[in-house]
Amino acid sequence: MIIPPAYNSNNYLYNVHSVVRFGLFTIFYLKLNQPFLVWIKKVVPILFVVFFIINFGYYESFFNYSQFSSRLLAVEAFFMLFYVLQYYLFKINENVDVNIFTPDFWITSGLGIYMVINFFIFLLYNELSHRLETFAISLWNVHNISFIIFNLFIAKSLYESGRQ
Amino acid sequence: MNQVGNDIRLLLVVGIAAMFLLFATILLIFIFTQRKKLQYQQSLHSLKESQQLQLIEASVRSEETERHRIAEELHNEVGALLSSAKIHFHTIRLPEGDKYNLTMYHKGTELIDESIKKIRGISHSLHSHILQSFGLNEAIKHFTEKLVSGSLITATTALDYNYITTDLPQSDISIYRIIQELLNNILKHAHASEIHITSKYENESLTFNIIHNGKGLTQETFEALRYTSDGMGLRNIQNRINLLKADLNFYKSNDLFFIQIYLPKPYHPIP
Repeated sequence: MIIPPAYNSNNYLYNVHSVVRFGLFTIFYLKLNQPFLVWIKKVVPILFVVFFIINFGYYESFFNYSQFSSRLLAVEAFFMLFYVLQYYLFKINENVDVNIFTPDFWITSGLGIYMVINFFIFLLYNELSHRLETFAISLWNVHNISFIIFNLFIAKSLYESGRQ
Repeated sequence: MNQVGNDIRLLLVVGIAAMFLLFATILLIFIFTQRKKLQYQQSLHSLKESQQLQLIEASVRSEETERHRIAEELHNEVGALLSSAKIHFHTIRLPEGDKYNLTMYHKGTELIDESIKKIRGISHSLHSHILQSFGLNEAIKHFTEKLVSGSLITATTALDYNYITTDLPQSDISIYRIIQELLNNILKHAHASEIHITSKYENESLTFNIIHNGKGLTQETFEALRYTSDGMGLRNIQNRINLLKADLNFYKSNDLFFIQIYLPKPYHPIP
């Protein structure tokens, strides 16, 4: 079966990936049951949904053939960084466990590294792909390296979780 | 057009660098803060532990002092009184042929002799002069022999004489008390007919093994009983074990019960 020309691009998959990733990490941070900024943590996914509806309802197309949504990925990175920072702030106030390098610490640190490196890449990518195409393409190496680091942190987290 | 592109490129590079530095700083602050908190908690924990040990040590010392005092009073006061009573008893002159009074006289002498013997036994058990004069090994050997004398129980010892008690450290008194309590328990509750005590002094660490064929304790039972109100003796044992930083293990093998006391290296007797 041939995919209709309008969807014959993998760019929208980045958008799908971004939404799914945000959803899963929201569940992850809510499931950690940290009694810190609980109200804001519950509002964040609502804000994201509102942004999603407004952005793709009025300003952008979710199935854009030529590019993924820079705005979506940047907003996702922003909210993710909020989750990461609130995690550290909570842990600093909390009584210390015997081991601070817990599985959730590794996940959060990996996510933090990935998002701080890629926030500006996501934010400026559409603009860059128009003005400096070669540079924009080479930027994917930076993204890919940070993604490998993120996955290594996840692997470390799973390993630690298995040991416990 | 090219200028705008360069500006975006600059913004991107500076933005990534700034974000990364900021995150690295937060991460480092987080790790250092947590480490500091952990160190503080650990020092607090060790302080609590040392305070607890000091309390146990003080209670063990006062218990020993009290034992010593009671033992001395029993030996010197009550023992002397009974000896004096015995001398007075011997001076009694009974008329010839008074069989009833003669029997009573002999019974009375016998009871006084037994009382003196008992008082001496209790006094020695409370404060072992053998431990003070001849050291831990001799004290254990003597206590074991005395414990089973006149009964059908056989008790043997195979102690390592490489370990020599000098200046009778508090730790040796504690070991002696632990073994004393354990042997009393074996006799009272386990109904063993054979007891064997061994010790090994190797690389400055001391290990005692008490093996018996009665119905002994397992590690689970000991852990369940040691802090209950019924297990006062076991609690005393546990306190002394904590004080010595030793290990006490109970286990069963081939129908025999083993009690192992391990005083790890370096074994520093408490002065």
